[in-house]
Amino acid sequence: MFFLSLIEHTLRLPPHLLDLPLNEAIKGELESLFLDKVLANLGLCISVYDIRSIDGGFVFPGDGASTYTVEFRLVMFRPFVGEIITAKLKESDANGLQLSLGFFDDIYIPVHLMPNPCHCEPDPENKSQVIWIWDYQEQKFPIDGLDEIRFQVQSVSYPPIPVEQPKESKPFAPMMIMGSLDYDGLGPVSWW
Amino acid sequence: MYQSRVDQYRSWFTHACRCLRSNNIQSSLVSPLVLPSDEDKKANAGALTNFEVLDFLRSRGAAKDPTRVIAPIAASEFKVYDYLVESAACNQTRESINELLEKCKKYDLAKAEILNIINIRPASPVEIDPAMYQAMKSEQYVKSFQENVEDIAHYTKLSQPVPTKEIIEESEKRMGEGIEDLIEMVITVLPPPPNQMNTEEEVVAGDEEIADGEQTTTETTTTTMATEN
Repeated sequence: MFFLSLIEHTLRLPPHLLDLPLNEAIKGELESLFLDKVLANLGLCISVYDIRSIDGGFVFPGDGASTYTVEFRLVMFRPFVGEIITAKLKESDANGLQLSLGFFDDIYIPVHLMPNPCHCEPDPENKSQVIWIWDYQEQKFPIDGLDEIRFQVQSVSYPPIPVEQPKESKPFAPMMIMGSLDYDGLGPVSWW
Repeated sequence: MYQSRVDQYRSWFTHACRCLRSNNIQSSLVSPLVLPSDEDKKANAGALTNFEVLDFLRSRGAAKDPTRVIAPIAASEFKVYDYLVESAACNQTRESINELLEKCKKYDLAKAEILNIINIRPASPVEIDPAMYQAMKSEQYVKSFQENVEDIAHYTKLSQPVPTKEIIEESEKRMGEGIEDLIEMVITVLPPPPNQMNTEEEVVAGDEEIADGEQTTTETTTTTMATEN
């Protein structure tokens, strides 16, 4: 689920951080720059693992701050295809399920990757949501939000930033995980 | 002539400002936002198990409430910590993972499969089946990174799924009764996560130690998992 990524970045250190020791100032600056952000094809940055080297310290003309070239490692959240992850149910509608890990919410299980055969029923409690039910050997297994759901990662995609968004659409998701429940051992933990 | 000098200076000045600003690219999109991947030297410098990330966060001071305000850890990192603490990684130790890696060698498992097993701690063959089935497809993907392939185009080509052969029963074919032994070994070596403890009937061997997070060393070395290429 997690990888280390070695990254080199040219960093401008704002002058108000000059009184801190260099390592701390650079670490703070890296954290504010990368933490909880998605890097294209690398995943979601969870935290700064360590700083390998700091180079430079030049001051460009006309600028009050020094610029450093820093080499560091980040802990990235990037599940590989085929990985099994347990997550909680966040939303369930006619297009499929949306699962959440707490720190990452854009996990979708589309209808064609649900256990086969299954059907959906309108949720009596919540009007906009449906409950998916798996029909297996004449028994019904509903997917309710009570326990954790184990799914397998089918693909991880990074949609490009849209230039314009209609006002009422969901906030843009820079990283989306498509999951599948269509195999033995997958689905709510209580089923197995 | 004076005017042209002023224009020259102005154009130089705006160009210099643009250069400086471009080093610090920030835009006002909704977070999380996508940053250009600037010269990532090695996109994958090693895979981490959930336990290693949990250990790293613990060594920096993460713990359950109420010390949250004091520890130098961001709110987003605490969310990751909360998730990991409820997963199977919460009472693993470095020794138990090393032991599992040693014992898994004779089963000839792929790296991705071992990673899946460590992260989920399957307690029955039905749980281990998906861990092994499609992890086979991504084994090529994991290997290609560890061979220092930096070209992203090459990586995306390799990560396309290989044509699916009849590997649905792969785990049974490859291992047959070995699966039961593997499950047995996983259950004894890795401590069960808290929510599995209630459902498991087998008594976990008394040799295991529940990890005391605060006492683990704070060195930031990755385990044999990543270096074992």
